[in-house]
Amino acid sequence: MKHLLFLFTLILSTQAFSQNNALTFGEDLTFSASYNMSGVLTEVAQVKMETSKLNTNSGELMRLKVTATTYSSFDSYFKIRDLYESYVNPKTIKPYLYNREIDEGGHYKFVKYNFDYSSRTVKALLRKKSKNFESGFWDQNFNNSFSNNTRDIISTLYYLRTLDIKKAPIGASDTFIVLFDNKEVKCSFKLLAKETINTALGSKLCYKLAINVSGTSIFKGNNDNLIWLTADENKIPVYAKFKIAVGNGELKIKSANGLKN
Amino acid sequence: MKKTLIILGLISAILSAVLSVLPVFKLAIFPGILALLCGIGALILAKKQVSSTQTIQLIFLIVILSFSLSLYKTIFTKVEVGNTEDLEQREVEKVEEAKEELLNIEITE
Repeated sequence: MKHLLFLFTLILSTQAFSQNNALTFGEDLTFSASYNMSGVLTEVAQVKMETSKLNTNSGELMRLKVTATTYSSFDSYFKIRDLYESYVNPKTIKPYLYNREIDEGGHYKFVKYNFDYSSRTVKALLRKKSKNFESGFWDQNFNNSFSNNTRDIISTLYYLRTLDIKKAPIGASDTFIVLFDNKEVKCSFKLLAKETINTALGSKLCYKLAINVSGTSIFKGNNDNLIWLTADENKIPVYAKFKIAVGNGELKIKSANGLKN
Repeated sequence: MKKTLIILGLISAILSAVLSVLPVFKLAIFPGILALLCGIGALILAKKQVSSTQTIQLIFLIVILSFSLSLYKTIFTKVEVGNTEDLEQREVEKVEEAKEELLNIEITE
């Protein structure tokens, strides 16, 4: 009986966990990315996070789109036109298709993941520019198995917002498996504090989270990559500090439209 | 000593001026401050030696110009995204591809 009760509670809590009360279609968040140059923060790019609807034969999917675009003054020096998108179940934020097409200073890369939940396999396509092929591209195809909670980087960021952070104590952490560059990496988020910060949207009470990624060189340092999510139902990211291989910088929100709550 | 300070000050002032016209104009402050310090040092030495201060004045002039330009750009330059037509085109293509690929998938809870 005890076991049954435990199982029932577990199912209930899992259901509550997977409820999405933070995201809706038509959400549009705009950020400005600054790069730290010799201690001086310089605004270099605009980052946009948008959600929209995609209808399929069996229902609707949520398209999570993130674009990064350098400001015109930097285009002649280092032009960035990055597109990340993930097509997810709007309730569980489980991804079905992930596209990453980056064009950074002439360096082009395209990555596509097709998640197949029936066979627990992900069909991956990695495309790079190459003069050795007639098409001008070198395609590599992979088939990998993935674990139940594996997500791509974009759906992980959005999934984080659907979690019930208000119940978590300071110091609590959660680890997610993220498929990045055809490798499953562990990405952990630790709640460091609850603090009020000034943003373009006004003064906001936020959850301050530290991001640590193991098994990859994307992020550097320990607790040096931080993200502030508003401590309300929307849990939108309003500020982030990052330390990557080529330097450090920050991301500040400029505008937020179409929020669910 | 005075000559060294003038040369260093002049190089720093020119570097500051170059940076002030680039998108990284905020960085012009560092060589600009160095040029000012060198200029002040050279000016003190020149006054002691009662020698010409024309080159030192040139250092100050370049620094003032680069600082003015940097300040103007800091206040009045609005950051804006450049041409994104190519990106928008790619976005449309990706959505069309996604529609085809995801049309018959089974959405699980």
